[in-house]
Amino acid sequence: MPGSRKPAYRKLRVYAVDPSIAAAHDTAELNELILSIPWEDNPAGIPGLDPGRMVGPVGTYLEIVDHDPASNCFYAPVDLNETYVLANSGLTPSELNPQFHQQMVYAVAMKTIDHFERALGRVALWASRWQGGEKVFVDRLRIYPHALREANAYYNPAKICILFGYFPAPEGSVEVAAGTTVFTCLSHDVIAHEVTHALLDGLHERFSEPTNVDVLAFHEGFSDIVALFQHFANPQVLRDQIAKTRGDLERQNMLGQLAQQFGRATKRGRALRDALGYTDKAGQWHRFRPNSSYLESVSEPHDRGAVLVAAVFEAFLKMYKSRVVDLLRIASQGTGVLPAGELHPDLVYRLADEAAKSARHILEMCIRALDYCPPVDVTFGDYLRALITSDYDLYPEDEHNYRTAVLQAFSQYGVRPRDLRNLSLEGLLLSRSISAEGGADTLGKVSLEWDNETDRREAFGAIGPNAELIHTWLRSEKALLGHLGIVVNPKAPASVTRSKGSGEPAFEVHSVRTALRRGSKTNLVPDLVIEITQRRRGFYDLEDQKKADEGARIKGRRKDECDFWFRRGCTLMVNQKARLVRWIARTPGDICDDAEMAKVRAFLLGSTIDELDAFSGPIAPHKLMNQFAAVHRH
Amino acid sequence: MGRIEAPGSGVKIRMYRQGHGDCFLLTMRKQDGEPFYLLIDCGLWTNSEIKVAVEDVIADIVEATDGRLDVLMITHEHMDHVNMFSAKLDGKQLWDDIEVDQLWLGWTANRADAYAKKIRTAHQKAVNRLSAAVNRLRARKGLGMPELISELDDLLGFEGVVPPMGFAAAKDYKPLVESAATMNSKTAVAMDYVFGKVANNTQRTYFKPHEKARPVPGVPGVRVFALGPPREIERLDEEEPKAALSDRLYEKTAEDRFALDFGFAGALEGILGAAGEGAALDTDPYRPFAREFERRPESGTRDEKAFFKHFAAAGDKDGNWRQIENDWLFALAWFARKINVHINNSSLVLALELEASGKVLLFAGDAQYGNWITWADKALVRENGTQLSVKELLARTVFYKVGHHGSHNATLKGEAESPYPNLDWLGQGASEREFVAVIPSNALWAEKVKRWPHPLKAIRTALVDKAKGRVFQSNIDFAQMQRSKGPAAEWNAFVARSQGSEGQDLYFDYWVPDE
Repeated sequence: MPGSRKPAYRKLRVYAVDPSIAAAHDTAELNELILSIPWEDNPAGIPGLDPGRMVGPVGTYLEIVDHDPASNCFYAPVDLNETYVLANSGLTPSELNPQFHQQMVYAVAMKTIDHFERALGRVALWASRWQGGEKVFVDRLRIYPHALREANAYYNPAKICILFGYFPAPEGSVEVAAGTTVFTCLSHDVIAHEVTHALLDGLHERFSEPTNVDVLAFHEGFSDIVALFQHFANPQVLRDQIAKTRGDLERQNMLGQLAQQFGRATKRGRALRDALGYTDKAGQWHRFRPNSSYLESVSEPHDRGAVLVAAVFEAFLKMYKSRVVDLLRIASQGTGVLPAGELHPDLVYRLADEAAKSARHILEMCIRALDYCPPVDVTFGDYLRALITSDYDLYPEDEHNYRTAVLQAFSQYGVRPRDLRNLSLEGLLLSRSISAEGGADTLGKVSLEWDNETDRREAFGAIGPNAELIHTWLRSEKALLGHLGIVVNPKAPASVTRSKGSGEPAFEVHSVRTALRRGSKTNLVPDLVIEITQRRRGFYDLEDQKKADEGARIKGRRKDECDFWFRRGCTLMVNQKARLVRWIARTPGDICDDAEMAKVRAFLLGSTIDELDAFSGPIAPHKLMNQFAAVHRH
Repeated sequence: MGRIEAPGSGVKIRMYRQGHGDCFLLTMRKQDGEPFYLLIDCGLWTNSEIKVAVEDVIADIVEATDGRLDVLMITHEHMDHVNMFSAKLDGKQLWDDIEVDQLWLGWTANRADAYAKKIRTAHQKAVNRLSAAVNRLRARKGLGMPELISELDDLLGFEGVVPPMGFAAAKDYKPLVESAATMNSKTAVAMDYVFGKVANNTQRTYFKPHEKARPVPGVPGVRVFALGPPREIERLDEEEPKAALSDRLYEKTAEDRFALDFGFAGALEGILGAAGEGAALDTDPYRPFAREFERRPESGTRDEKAFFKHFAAAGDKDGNWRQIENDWLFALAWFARKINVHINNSSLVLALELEASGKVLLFAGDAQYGNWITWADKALVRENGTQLSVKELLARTVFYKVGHHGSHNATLKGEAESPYPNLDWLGQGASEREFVAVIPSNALWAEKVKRWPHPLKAIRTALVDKAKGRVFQSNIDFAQMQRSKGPAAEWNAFVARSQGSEGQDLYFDYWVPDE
């Protein structure tokens, strides 16, 4: 097929929410969606695959492998390029056809990837794989749509794959007849949620190390935010609800009910129930008033993550309301009171469009903020600063007061940075502007071509050499390092990991990538994002810690053994041309800070995440092999 | 050795050093001057013996009590707390030499409590089916399987299921019969024996947390408060439709933090049903799709074969690391751990209050987080109607039987100001000068054979710190115990109260005077 005639997008049909919504009479309109995703075929160079076809589907980002080990079989892979499939925008939604399941998982996952790449302005990478002491590029996320027989789906960071489960609906189930097989891979929400875990892991591998109460909750909450707003970005799914609420601003909260409905297949449904609102005995839905002290009382990752979702949702509502206030004025002829009866369909369409636009906007905002978070030990407060700063970079003028909306929403839910004196937009911006003049030579050499057109393998390959250049530059900048909280003093505790050559405390340049910012003439300019980390061996027992800090051997322990890794680090936004460190997002204290280390220790010892494991001791973050499986099982 | 003199005041505690497990003999003086004997638990992990044999322990109990216990208390039904009840030597049931007047148990052990019974039924069924699945999985190979099997064996070991089990395949799916014979469980055997020994229901007391304190029969000036097992399950009961409380209870999604139910939504049947190697595929009712869609890597069209050749395990050289043929089974380990925590959290937690001095002895069983966190949910009431808070009571603790061999989530960490019960709530003020902790653990065996940090070093350190060295641990001789930081006078007083512990391989003796 001549390349020039290849369409840019492939249209694929999916369940709009999940099969149970399609089957319910009052929501039958929400039956299916057609998603447009970037066109791709089977890549060349994979044995058994023909680049003229789209079997699997296996593309450049994803490989769907339908292995069902519990049933001791595979399911035949779909070919999306087959004539009849193409002619019909893909297979018709069906619970009985595993090939449709493959299609839907592929389509929704691709959509999530697409949102990430649009927001970040560069191609997305999966987490890399450790092989022979080296990080190896992983082309594709593998997805198993029918891997488990339980009400669970999870991302496995060790295998860089997502496993979806299926299970018979339990007795007493209302929405689905008991005994019916429920497929987690047919829930739009679950797919987007899990793929977001994988994308987030590709960006921030340390965000899966629970070192404070927010880290895992952030992974969960953020994945829910993406799943929710990816959904809301489709105006079709909103129209019905908006027509029902008749555009009444005070009742726009009903969108929250919709959010809960979408989430009910997942544990999020229950978590959101506690954070967003509830249905009273008369069947009326009410939204909870935001409660700024609620956050202090919850520690379970989903419950806590739900607070983050609720805060972002609140910001979304504020944005949406400000966008439609004029429409409602026009429609009510200035009275604010809409005429009785159903809303005019045109108005419903316009309102739904505005809601979808707001959703897309907040989705991009939330994804872009990832680049502005510290590389380890992230908190909700860090994320709030990242949201405000990243938005400032793209929209220096806050014309629509979106940042105010975010600030207000987060503070209503009790999210604030730990060290903040004054909760204001200005105060929330990351600390900034240090000259990096000394880096003139090396910074100039960093060559970073990493946008949405870049080959992903090349982008991955460039990280190493660039990190090396940055490392060389930083080593000579003692004053800057001090400012960043990176310790290179040889007198640091012996438990801090040293560099092999110099014996000084080592620091690692984790990642060098690009982030877009709006230049002075509204053009988009790429900045460098640099992540730096240090680590130190941590022990639960203070005597052991003391010995390790002094460099003494600990009885019964191998030389490099420890109970947990204590990590500190920072993320820099660097203007390569102007040699300016524009923003710094760093963890509190530094690697020598015993008080900060004590906080991590106290969290790990007091954490209840692992109540089920009374035998191996508290699970140190780096030993937790599959936290996602455990967190998702319920 | 020899009969224990009932103390003039307070309680004498004999902590047996049999191995990795619990056994405590408490002696008090009755109104009429006769001794009162209370035994708490009697068990150990197989092969975890320290210096003495099981029969020596039982012989000592017989000798010390003249073969008669006023009360036998069982905290929970795990092997390391009950298996010595069914110990035999040369065909003789050793416990036949001991008479028991009364049995103290948690409400969860009550065969007549409808809700407890449902939980028991679900639990036993789950254990049965899990052990059947494990037996069939033994032959299965591949990534993660040896680790999974060994973890499941350990966890089932707690339930008294000793591998390899005698289940024939046909028996796997037999509906549960609540009897030791079909359970094939040593725990059930031991419990059956104890219940047979105290056959009359009026001789059994089932404690519920926060109910009115009870006197110690015949002993003046000592009362007991129950703090666990949590009764929250009742609340869950009220909220759930009755249908959900059928025998499929174990498939219900956990709705609360107490984890007093079993399993996860709907899926267990599907896993257990297919867990066997080469399970009869035609009869597996959980296969999700029609046969026409199913493929074997070596079958199908030419294109499909080529696809599988690359992406299925055998042909996929580069992709082997991401094969998932066993991942669906890992849920079984999670499920087994959940059963284990459930039983630990069903521990009867008792606090003995000595009236004259206000001193408190806390026996926490193997209570984990879910049990601890509920202790202070309600205030306590004495027999005379006066109220006190749990915090107030625990502040006067001078003797703490550490939960679950000192594992990390069975002694909560916190501060005196924390809103939930934790180590710092215990032994406040003057009580701290006398505070003693006891850890029933053979730490060497646990570390070497099982790789369990029992006790967790950080918890032992915190205990030693708080008790200034006054921490008994089964595998550490009294002579090896050391004062830590505190004043010498305090230590000397402690040594005086520990009279008879020196040089003993069989037990530690410790006296808490009520003065």
